[in-house]
Amino acid sequence: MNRPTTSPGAEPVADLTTDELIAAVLEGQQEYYGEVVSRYQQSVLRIVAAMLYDRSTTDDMVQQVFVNAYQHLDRFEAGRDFGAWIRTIARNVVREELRRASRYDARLRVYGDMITARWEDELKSVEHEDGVDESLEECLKHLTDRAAEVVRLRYREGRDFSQIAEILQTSAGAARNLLCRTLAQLRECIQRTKLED
Amino acid sequence: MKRIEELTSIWLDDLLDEPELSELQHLMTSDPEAKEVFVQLCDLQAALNARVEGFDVRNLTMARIHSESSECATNDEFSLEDDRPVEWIVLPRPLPQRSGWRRFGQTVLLLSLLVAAGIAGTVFLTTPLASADATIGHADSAVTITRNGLGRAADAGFRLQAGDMVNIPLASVASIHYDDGTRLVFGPESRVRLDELTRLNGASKNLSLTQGSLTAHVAKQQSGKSLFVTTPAAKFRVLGTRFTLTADAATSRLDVIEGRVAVNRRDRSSSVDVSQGHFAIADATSSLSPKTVEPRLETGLISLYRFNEKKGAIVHDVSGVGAPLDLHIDRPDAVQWLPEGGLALRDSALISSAKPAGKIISSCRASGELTVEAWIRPATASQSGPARIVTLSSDPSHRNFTLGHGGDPDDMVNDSHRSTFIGRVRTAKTNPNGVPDLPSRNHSVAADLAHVVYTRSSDGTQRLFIDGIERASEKRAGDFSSWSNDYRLGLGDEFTHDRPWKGEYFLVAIFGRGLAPDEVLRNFRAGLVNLNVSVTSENL
Repeated sequence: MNRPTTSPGAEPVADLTTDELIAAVLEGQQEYYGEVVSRYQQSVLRIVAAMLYDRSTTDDMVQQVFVNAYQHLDRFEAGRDFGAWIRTIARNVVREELRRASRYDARLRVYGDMITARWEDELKSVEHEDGVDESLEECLKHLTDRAAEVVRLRYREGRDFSQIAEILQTSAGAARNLLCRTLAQLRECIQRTKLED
Repeated sequence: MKRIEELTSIWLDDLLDEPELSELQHLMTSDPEAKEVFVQLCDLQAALNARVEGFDVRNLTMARIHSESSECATNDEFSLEDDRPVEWIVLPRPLPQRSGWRRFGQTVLLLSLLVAAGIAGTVFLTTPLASADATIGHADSAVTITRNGLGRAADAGFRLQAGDMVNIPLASVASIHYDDGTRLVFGPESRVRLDELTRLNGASKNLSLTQGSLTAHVAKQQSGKSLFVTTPAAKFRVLGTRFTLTADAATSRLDVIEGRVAVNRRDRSSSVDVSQGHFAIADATSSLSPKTVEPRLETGLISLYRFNEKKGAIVHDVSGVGAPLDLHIDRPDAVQWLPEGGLALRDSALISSAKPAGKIISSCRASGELTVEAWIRPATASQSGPARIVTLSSDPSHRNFTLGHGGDPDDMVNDSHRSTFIGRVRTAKTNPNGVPDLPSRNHSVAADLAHVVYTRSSDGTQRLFIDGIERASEKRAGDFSSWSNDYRLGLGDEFTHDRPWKGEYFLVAIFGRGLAPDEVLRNFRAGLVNLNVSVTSENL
């Protein structure tokens, strides 16, 4: 798919505001929506990641958020914060999925209820997520090399335990145990950091 | 590490078993601190999941928007079929584990009662359940499905839902086909439950085999997604492979034909990856470690073709038994040697011996027994003729034996294009064509790699196996005294060039004795690793 590099007015697309991009899309230039996706996909991912799904399912859901937004783009009011608007759509998509999935897993319902309640307050929700992300960034620096490696392989590269085991030259069970211990360390570290703050 | 951390971590990996799920549930309801830890770990997991490298859905999203804006809205047609009312009937609780014959008797009685009752009741399920993305591929008549305590016959094409239990009694076989092409074939006395799709970490297929046997052809799974099979002894994670699994209350045995399967003991005391050509046994005593599968059994072998030539117009008999009975390809332009081993018949071709198959005829006639074994991949599930996979014959009406594919064009009742394998052997009690033949059930063949074995023992018992599971058997009297000494061995077509078979050969073996079921299973488990043939996962 060709990416537009210039605006309708020959302005580089990266220089266009989101409002200008959306106006172009609403005028029929669908391809400009790709730039909107690029700008906001990471913040949508942060919300969808709360479903705790695997990468491909998460990818699907992020796409679905942007497809839903595209289908209702005429309802977006220019001048408003598009980021907040798309995050609301993302939360609605996740809420619906949580409702569906938690029918089968009561434990997911516990977490789902908690984040749904948190999302009632946009500001509080964003603050919480930012706080976790910042603390996590800091805590990751204190991991041993091997623990950091297992986190990187599992989450950044999306590898399964048998692949991780091969790379770390251990068994899949040992790799899983290492990750389990590392997550426990990270959780404690994040809580400590939040308390200190 | 706290127990709640351990349980939550396993839950996030979607590997909790039932007792652990209950324990986690109990901890979360009884201990507020544990609940807090659970939520914090979920938060952490979400934050880590969002740190994925190279995340970019721009192109995929735009492709989806283009696609959705150009598609006609036809989804309603599909949902109608899924939601159609089906006939359900109150069944007893799932059949208790007891001796096979008693259970078989109970099942027959149960089904008789259902038939006698006629329309005993129609139940419309009002609670929507999660789709299992799977249907019954085929099932013998005694196979039943239980849903919420209600049962029904397992009809081919029936859409399964999470929570369904499929009960396969003695002497029956059933297969489940997933929408992505994965096929699971369950042997006699198997009980399988399609577990809920938690979808956590992409467990798109999740089932429990509480007893019985399973042969799996698992399509290559999307990144990060897996097939999970849980038995009483272990949990198996599969990405895309072929394997067999047998399970009872205490022991599970996994044989990997192709690819790799991760095994976790249910008590989580150990885990291991099992690769092609290896097996592992999970039980309470032995250590969980992969072992090399037993080699192919070759006692009684007469002729063996491995299709490793890679060029030329001759398929060599590599049995090392007597004078080689090499086969000549009459139309080399119609075949293709596969680079990893194997021979593909792209068009009609007869691959045959130049002279009568004396060593096969004399050996089988002396023993009154026969086994024809083939590792093949049919080009299409349904063929007609029956199309000749292996034949010792002269024309469509005269043979000593044939392993075929599909129905007979002269059959006035059934469509000749059928997805069935058949065995024919001529005896003093059959006609010269070896009819009546022994067919597997229709829909028992897929256009996929298959291990097909037809055996006939001296007591007259004929058996047909697909992928190690017996799919048909019958006892017919008569010896091989009526066999002709003049027939040649042929593959791919009849000698009159009017019964062509399309597909790929990886191995053909002929034995002068009837292999027992456990010997057939051994050769299936030995799989392709012993054939020096590599079938890449892309072919799955």
